[in-house]
Amino acid sequence: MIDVLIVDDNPIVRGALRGYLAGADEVQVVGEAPDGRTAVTAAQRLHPHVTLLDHRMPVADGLSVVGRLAEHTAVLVLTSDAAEELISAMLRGGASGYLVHGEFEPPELLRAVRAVAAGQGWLSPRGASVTIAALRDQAARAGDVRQRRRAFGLTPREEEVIELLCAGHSNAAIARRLLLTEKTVKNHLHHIFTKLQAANRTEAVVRWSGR
Amino acid sequence: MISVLIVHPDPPERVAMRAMLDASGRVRVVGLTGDRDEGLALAHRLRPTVTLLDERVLPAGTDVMHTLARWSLVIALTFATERRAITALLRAPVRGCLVYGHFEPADLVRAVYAVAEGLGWLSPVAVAAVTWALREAARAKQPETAPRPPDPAPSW
Repeated sequence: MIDVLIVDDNPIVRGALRGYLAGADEVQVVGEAPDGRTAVTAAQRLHPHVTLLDHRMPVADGLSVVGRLAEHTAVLVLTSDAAEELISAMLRGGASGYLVHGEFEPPELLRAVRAVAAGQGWLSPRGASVTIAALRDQAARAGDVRQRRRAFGLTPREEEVIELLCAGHSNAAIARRLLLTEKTVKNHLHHIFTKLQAANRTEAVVRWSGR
Repeated sequence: MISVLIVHPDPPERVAMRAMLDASGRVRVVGLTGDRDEGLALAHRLRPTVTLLDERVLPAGTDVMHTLARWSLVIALTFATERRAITALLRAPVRGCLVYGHFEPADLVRAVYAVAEGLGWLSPVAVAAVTWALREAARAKQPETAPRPPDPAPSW
């Protein structure tokens, strides 16, 4: 049995979803919630396999609770809002799937519920195109960072040192981590500052991290 | 009509895929091949709206695949289920990914419709891979709000 929690502020939508899901033997609706805050409480109490989550709701909207919900249940977003930013934010926040009202038939809802309950995901064609684009952007940006960093010409050891520096470690901590003396770390930093044209630690961190 | 090119190594599979797409009434299969170079030549000559591309014939991410993607919207067909393999594949210029064993025959038609409309299509296992990758990146990008606690002194 797949336990489902329905979260939507509109009782007519909740009723319709209940109706769709009633047709499937292996799915049972274990609860309903009209807003994000009530949804979190219900998810903590019921641990449903799947939560159907609307976005625009009073008290707390879907995006504001998706992360907390995802700790207790697999979240399938089901909303009329198909904005690209919302789709990626929901998926980054912990949602496993995204369906847009009016763009799917009841059988697709059931497949989506099953897929999400099984630890996989489900995206409408719009959701799929948004996430593929987001993934490619991300890869392109990562490539840019690598290219920018390569241009500084640091040695592998110097790269280790600057990474630890960016993570907020002191010279002593870097020395312990890399099994070096503090004097050697200082030497590395001196070379790093020259290569990054940085006057101090803060500038070096800014140059390396690109912030 | 949506024109489709099928590039797949197995002849009976190719024929079955064509039958299914032709039966939809909105798709016309304009080319069928199991050969990489012929696939490229057909895509160049016919400019099919969508190409169904089996990874065994032409792996995603190769230069040849990038060239093909200039002429047609590519849906990759793959056996890969491991999330790193799938996200690597999706960094190539593909508009959709169907994972063997994880889609229903009707999804082939729906994927073609979706991609021809400028949207995308991902099998459930591919969705899980992509959301995982986006989430990992979001986590990595989060700035550290507080400096890390000092390392414990080594025990030696």
